[in-house]
Amino acid sequence: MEDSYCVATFRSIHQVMKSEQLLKYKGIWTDMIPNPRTLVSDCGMALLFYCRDAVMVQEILGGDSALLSNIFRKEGTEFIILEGGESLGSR
Amino acid sequence: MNSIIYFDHAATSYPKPPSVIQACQDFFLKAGGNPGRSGHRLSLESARIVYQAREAFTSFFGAADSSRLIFTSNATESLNIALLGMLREGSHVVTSSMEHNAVMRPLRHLEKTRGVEVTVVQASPDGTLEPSRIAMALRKDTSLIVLNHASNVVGTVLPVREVAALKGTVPLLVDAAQTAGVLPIDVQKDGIDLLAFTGHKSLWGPTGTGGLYIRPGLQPSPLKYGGTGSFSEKEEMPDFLPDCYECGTLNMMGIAGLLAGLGEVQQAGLPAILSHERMLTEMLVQGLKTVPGLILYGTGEPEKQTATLSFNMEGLMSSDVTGALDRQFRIMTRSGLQCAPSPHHTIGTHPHGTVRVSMGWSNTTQEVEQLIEALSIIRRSM
Repeated sequence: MEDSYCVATFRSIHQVMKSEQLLKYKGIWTDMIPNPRTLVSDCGMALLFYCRDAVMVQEILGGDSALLSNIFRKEGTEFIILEGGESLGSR
Repeated sequence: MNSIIYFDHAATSYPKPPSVIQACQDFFLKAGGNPGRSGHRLSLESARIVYQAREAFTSFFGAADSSRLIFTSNATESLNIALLGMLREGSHVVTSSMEHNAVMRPLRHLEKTRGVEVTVVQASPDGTLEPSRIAMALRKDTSLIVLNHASNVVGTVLPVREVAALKGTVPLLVDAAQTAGVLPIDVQKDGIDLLAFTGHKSLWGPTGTGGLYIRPGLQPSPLKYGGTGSFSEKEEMPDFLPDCYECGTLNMMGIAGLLAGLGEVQQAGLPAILSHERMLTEMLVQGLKTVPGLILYGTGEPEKQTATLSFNMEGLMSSDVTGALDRQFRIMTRSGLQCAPSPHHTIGTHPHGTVRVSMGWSNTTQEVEQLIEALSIIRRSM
C-alpha cells in the first residue's frame, strides 16, 4: 500500500485544522478534502494522506489530545477502517 | 480645532487600524464562505481564518489548548455563557462592587430565577479592592468568583492574580473587557479559570466580536443550541469544544478584523501600549488638578489603573460637560453611569454619574492638553 491513500476523519473543523498544522509541521504530506459522504453523515472536511504514513499519523493525532476520530484506507470507492477511537460507521 | 478628539475608548476604540478594515473587506473578497459547513474552498478559507484567530488568541492569553477558546459576539455574551452555564439552583457566587452590568444583570437574573446567592464584596471609594476581602467571602459551597480586571468607570485595576492565589479550587471568572490588549494576561500564570474578553476595545477589532477561554476541566452549559457543522446526524448538541458553544454562523468579518487587530496590538507591543497610556493618564491627572472645582475619582495613580478616568465639575451635570466638550470642542467623552451602577455607588456618584475620559493608543499628549484647555474654558464660562 505504498502509494495508496488514507483518510482521517475528525469531529470538528477545528480538529481538522489543528491536525493539518501538526502533520505539515512533522513533514507529512496531507491534503484537506471534503468529508467522504460514505464515511460519515457529517459535513466538513477530512485529511487525505499516504497510507504509508498511517502509523505516524495515528501517533501524532491519536494521543492525549484525541484529535482523530478514525483512519480509513481508500480502496476504489470503498473505505476500510484502519484504526481509531469512535466509529461513525464504515460502509 | 477642526478634527475630532476621541476619548471614549472604554466604549469602543476609534479609529480602527487600516489593516483591520482591510481584513474585513478581504474576508468578503477572498473568503466569504461559511466555516466548517461546506467543503468548498471559500468555506475552507473562512475556517482557516477562524483557526488562525483561535490559535493567536490562545497564545496571546497564555493558554495551551486552542479548542477551549471560543468566539462570541462580545464580552457580555461570554460572561453570560460562564455565569448562566456555571451557576445552578442555590449556587453561591462572590463578586465585587466594581462590576459592570454585564456581570451584575446576569447575577441578579440568576438570583431571581435560580435562587443563586450573590455576595458583593465592597471595594474602597477609590475603586481598589483588598484581595483578602474576596477570600473572606468564600464559603464551602461557593461555585464561582467573578471579578472585573479593571473598572470601566475609574480604570482601577483589581487584584486578579492575588485573588487567584487565595481562592483555592473555586473557579475564577475574569471580565477583561477593559484590559485585554493593554495589560498582560496569562491565564495560567494569573490563575484565571475563565476569561471573558471583547474584541472591539483595546484589541482594536470590529464591534460584535469577543471570546471566552475555558480552562480544561470546566464546561459551562451552553447558552445557545443549534447547528455547528459537526455531528449533523444528531439532534443533540455536540459536547466538545469549541463546537458546543459556537452554534450558528460565526461573525466571520468580525473575526477576520479581530485577528488583524490583535496583530496590530502585538506589533505595537503591550509594554509600549501600557507605557503610552500611563503617560497620558499621568498627564491628564495632573492637568485635571489645575481645573478649579473639578472632582477626580479613582486612585489618580497611573500604575494602579487603565487610561480611564472619571470626574465631575462642581455645579454641572456630567451630561452638560460631555455635551459642551462635543459641541464646542469636538471632544468625545461619556457621561452618566456607563452601564455600571454598582461602581458608581462605590465611588459615591450614583445616580448622576461622572464624565468619563478613556484614552487609547491613538491619543496624543496634544489632545490631552486640548481637553484640559477645553475644561478650563467651560469652567470659566459658567
